[in-house]
Amino acid sequence: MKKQKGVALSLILFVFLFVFLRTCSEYHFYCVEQTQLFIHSWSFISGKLLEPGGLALVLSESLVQFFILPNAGALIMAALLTSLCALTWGLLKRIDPDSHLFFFAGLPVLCLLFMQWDFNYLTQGTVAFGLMLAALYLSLALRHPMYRLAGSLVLSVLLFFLAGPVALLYALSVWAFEIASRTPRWYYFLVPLVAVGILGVLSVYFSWIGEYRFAFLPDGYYYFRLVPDKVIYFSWLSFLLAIVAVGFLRGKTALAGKKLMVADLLQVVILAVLFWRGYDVYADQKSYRLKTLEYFARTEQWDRILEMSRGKIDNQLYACYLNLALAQKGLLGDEAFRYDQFGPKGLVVAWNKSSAISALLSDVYFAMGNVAVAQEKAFESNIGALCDGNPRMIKRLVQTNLIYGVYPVAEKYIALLEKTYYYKDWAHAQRQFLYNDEAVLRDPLLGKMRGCLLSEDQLSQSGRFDNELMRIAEQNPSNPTALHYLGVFYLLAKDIGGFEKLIEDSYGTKLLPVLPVSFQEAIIISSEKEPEKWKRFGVSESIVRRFTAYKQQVLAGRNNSSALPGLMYRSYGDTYWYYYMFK
Amino acid sequence: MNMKSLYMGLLLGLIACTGTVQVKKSLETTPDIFPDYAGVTVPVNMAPLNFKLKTNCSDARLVLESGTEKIEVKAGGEGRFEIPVSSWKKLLAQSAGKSLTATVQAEVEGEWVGYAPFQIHVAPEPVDPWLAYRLIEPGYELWNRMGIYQRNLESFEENAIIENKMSGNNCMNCHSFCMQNPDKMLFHMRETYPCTLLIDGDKVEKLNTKTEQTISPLVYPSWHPSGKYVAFSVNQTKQSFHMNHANRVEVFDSASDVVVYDTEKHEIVTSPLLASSGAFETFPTFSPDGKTLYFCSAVARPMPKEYDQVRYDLCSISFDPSTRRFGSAVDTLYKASEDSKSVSFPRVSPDGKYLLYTLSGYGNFSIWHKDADLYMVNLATRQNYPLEAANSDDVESYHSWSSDSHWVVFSSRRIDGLYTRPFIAYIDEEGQAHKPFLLPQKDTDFYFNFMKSYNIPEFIKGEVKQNSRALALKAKEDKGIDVRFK
Repeated sequence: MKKQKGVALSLILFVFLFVFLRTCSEYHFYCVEQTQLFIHSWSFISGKLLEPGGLALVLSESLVQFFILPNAGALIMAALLTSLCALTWGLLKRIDPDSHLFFFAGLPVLCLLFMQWDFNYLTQGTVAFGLMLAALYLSLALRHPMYRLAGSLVLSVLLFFLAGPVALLYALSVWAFEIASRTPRWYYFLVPLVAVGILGVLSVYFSWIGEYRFAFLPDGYYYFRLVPDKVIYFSWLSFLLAIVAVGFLRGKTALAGKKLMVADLLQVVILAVLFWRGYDVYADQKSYRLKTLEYFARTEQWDRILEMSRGKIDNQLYACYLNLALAQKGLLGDEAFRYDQFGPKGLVVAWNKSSAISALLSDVYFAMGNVAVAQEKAFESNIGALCDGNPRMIKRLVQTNLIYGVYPVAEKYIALLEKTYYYKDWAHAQRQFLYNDEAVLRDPLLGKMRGCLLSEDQLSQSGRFDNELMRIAEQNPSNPTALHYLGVFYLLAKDIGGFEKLIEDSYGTKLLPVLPVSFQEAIIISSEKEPEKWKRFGVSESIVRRFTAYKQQVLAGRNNSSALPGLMYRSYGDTYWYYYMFK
Repeated sequence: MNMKSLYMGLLLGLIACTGTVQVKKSLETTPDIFPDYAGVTVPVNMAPLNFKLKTNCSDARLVLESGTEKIEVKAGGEGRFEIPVSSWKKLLAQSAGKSLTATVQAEVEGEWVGYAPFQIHVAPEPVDPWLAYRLIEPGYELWNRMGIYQRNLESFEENAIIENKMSGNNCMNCHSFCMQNPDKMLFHMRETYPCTLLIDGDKVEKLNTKTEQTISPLVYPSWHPSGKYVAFSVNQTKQSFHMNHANRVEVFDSASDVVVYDTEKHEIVTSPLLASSGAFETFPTFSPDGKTLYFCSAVARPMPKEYDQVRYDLCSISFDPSTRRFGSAVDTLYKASEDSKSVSFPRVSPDGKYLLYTLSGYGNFSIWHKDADLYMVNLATRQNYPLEAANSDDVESYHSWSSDSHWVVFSSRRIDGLYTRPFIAYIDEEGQAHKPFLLPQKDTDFYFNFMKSYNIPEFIKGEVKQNSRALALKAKEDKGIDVRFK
């Protein structure tokens, strides 16, 4: 009966976690998958296994590779966390078989859940925690203290090599368990702790591990360039607390009937409150929108991005995705100002050397037709990824090298992706382009992008963003995106002089046979007192009429300057005039 | 039937008689293998040249023979030959000064074929047993894990001299040894804990090398043979990349000078001839007698506007180690600019006979220049010539000499056009290179899977024993010695 109750509770927990993670963290898992590349090759795996914590890393990366599939991330994480909870509860029951303090089993797992939402946390830490619990389960199964001591010693050493710094938690837990179990000569169980300490010190001394915090603390499961938030320590501390608390309260918590029900309910309530509060604090909901946008961009769901971009945009990254989506749909010039804008940085965000921003910029420059910068940013993003590269950026490196005709390098990246679970088919399909210029030129994407390569080389990005866009536009007039980006860049920067020159030089040529809507609106601003110019640039009658109405309304409301922006927004918030005047 | 075919027929017949394989067809062509070790010259102490067949085959075998020694190797999966180390060593010892013959048979489409044998020449001169290099992604601006490593050339053992995981994931570069001595070296750290670490036996010094009088901290090093001085360039370097050019990345100096650092007095000295505002001077290197300092010099131009118009000549100036004084005139060994060429990385052989350098169309960061090739100057005759056998259609750039002047190691991008790999070439008495070989690896697919470049390969006569944590702690915790400009 007790067993059935345990299974039922585990099932409930699993279903709850799955539904919750599926609902609230779906795009987070898609994002995590992009940062932890897993290669199906013995040389890759054996290299990892030789690192401290290598087994945990290999196991975690082999799980994370499936996060790309819908529901898989939530499913795997829910199953993992439920198992950890059941294991922890089983261990606590070893200390006090009559304990009802399941709160203590839930707390470490709850803390691990909080860490999952941190983009820089490695799932390795959670898997390592599981390995630690399994090791604890094994060693505590040994009844005789001396056997248990020997087993703990062996397992602590093994854990250090296979699971990393969690070996320290294991050794501390063994010790705490023996104290909690009131084992005579409990101090013998300091030996595994000493062993882990020696191993850690030697590992750092002989440079196997870079710093002590990576040898002994969960920092070893975090992006090595960053120092984690203190929440990363909570799971470890709460697990030790659980052992000590259950041990201390052993035999003192025998409850039955209503008291038991109240105690259970109270624990559930506390866990629920902690869960909700933790979600609020640690779920990084601010970045969730970005993760979602990133996923839609990656899967080319441009309409979904446009849907998400309705209303206020208070972040240049959101604006960057919006403009990318508009550009990919060929609507940038026409509809850029139908959405909230964030200035020129919302068109091309400033590079901060992070993997995520590098990836976004690679997408933006690729859309413009700037293959060189797209490749550069893909390379930077791939290098900056949490673990072993970003598969989508490796795809970009394949594409850009195919576009340049640098086939041996493209082949190297293709071969790499062919050893992955999800990308192997795509990678294999790219082989048709290797050493085959005709196939590259025939391909709609690669052929178009090759057409954007400058016939006369220049060094990139020496403060000549507009010059590069213009040259790309001139190089491939059939791809208007570069010119639309350039025009909108001038408009967002309110550089009417630059815009005018662009239009004077390009309008009526094959680069710009017709002016997009926002360009027409801007022409009126640039030559408000020269209506003949409007005609010359083909500004439509409807836009002229609308401008006349706009102007009248501005004049009517000029005495009420504080309310004017709001008033104008209702009717003209989708025009360049509004952006130019009020933003 | 020519002798080669006769020999092959006899050999194949012999093998066929063993009953292991029945060769049905004898081919006139040698097998297509990676790495291409056919006709290369290797030192007598080199690790096994493991290779794989590029032709699809279901089974294959290799016979290596020299004199009375013979090794038969059965291929692993995908035609990979992993040659047993002990047998290989015996075979090399037997073949010193001669050649060994490699014969490959393979089962292709259900039929065993025998390829024409190829030779591997074994020079009697051993190479310095260790090679140091930096491993880093061939990127633009960012890096991830990186470090300076050393590889035992007599086996496949590799270990880290230092990795950036010890020092805040910073950048480290420009490792340099005094006359291939593993106990006397230096390297720089950049960004986090910026410094130069100079190691002399058990003594490690942290140097803060930026002075008010010099335009940057010390950059490209070259030791004086006495170990008392190190010549450096100081450079204002920038990087950009091409919109559409095979060279991909462009690294250029907008100013540079040459200085000499006194390791005992912690002082920097220079000469107006090495630090002129009208010229970019860089890549210094001492002659083995320590009395001449070679360097590259170009007429200064506005950068980056005229990045492709900067061309470096090969120059030298005398140096008196006892007084730290430089000569009063610069001698131009090769005015490459007149040929619209540019010299980089001059390195004199330890016997003083030759100077090896890289020649490309412009600039000094030739590792990104597809046209970069290795050239030699015979210092006695001043004759300049390309090392034809060592060069390829792709980049050959950084290089260094072995202590006996018979081997050079150089970086080349010839495998895939991007990732630099170390090649080793034999230099004969006439100063000519023999066909180089790619640094062998235990796993024949290593270079396909490996995503880092080999930078600055340097031969060393032994293993660097310095504890890397001690080096990292020195960089992190020591105040360092402020270098003075004299």
